[in-house]
Amino acid sequence: MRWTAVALCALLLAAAPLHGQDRRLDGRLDAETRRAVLALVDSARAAGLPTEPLIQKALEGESKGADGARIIAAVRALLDRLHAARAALGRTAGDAELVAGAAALYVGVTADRLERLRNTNSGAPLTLALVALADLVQRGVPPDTAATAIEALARARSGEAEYRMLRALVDQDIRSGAAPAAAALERARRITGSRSPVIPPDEPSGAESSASGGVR
Amino acid sequence: MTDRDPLLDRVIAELKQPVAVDPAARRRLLDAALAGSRRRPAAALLRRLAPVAVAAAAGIALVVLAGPGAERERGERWTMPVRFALAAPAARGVALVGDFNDWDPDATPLEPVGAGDEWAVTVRLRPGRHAYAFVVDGTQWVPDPTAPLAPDDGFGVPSSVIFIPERM
Repeated sequence: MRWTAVALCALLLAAAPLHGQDRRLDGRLDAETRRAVLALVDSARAAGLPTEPLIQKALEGESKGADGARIIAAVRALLDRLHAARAALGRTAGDAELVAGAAALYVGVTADRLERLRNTNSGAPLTLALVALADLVQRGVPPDTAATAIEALARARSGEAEYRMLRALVDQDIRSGAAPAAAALERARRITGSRSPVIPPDEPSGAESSASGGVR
Repeated sequence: MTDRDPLLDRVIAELKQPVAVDPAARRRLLDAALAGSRRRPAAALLRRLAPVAVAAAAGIALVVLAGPGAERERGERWTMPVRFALAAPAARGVALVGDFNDWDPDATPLEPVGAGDEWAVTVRLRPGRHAYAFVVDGTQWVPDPTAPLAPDDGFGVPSSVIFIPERM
């Protein structure tokens, strides 16, 4: 037993310094930036959050020519959003769901809407819905409206094809001059085959006329 | 008593006789048996060292799992070939960068297809959400026009997203 304990201690001591390293950052980040990023990575690891997205965020920033301060800020912000995404999506959420949830939070979707989407989703991977949600917002659809449209698809147990169709059609409608919010709601209604318009629960029913008339 | 074939009786009697064993073969068998008993001390030593061996194995596993790239090691699952393509007729070179190649512009160059209007490459991706972009002529970052947009986290250059489900 004594030998076992000694061997375990020695190996634990040998393994410990590896926590604060990632060779992929060597030569890509200056020493100060690397230290700061690795401290954030260690913090994520201690919290049980995925660390690889943080490393990749730092490498992405370096590749895009960002300076150290910007890289550190981006990695820190991503870590904060990963925390928030896990609070909204639950401790059982997978890495991809957390990263997609963090992206949705970044573009302005509220944690409450993320939680609702998680509870609505049944069937298709939640990541698929979250990616589509963030995409719609970046195309100009207001976050709450985008969440409502995506929830409609999730309720209808939509798959990848439906989400892809929604994105393509809304993009086409916007390019043709439609209001992004109206385009998203109307396209969601048509794709899910719903007879009634997809209306955000906290919006008055009068909003439906503009939703149905906005798409060409 | 039943009447039995005398031939059958002779066969039974022969089978009841002890089998004659070659003395050399018997010696080899005995040696093998003794060798087995002589190995017991070694086996006992191994049993005594087993906890150390287990501790060493646990330590090695710890180093592998906790060290750099641990998530990548644990995430080794099936991969799916994905073709990335970009129409860039005037480009001299196009590269694919993303979280699957550490955003390295030298890692995954695209090849011109046909007359060179389109550039394409096929890479194998693990399940999950992947952010990526194209780099044209080494300087111009271009999101994939056919894919969902990834939020720009303050780097000022847009990216795209692809999602690979666990099962397709």
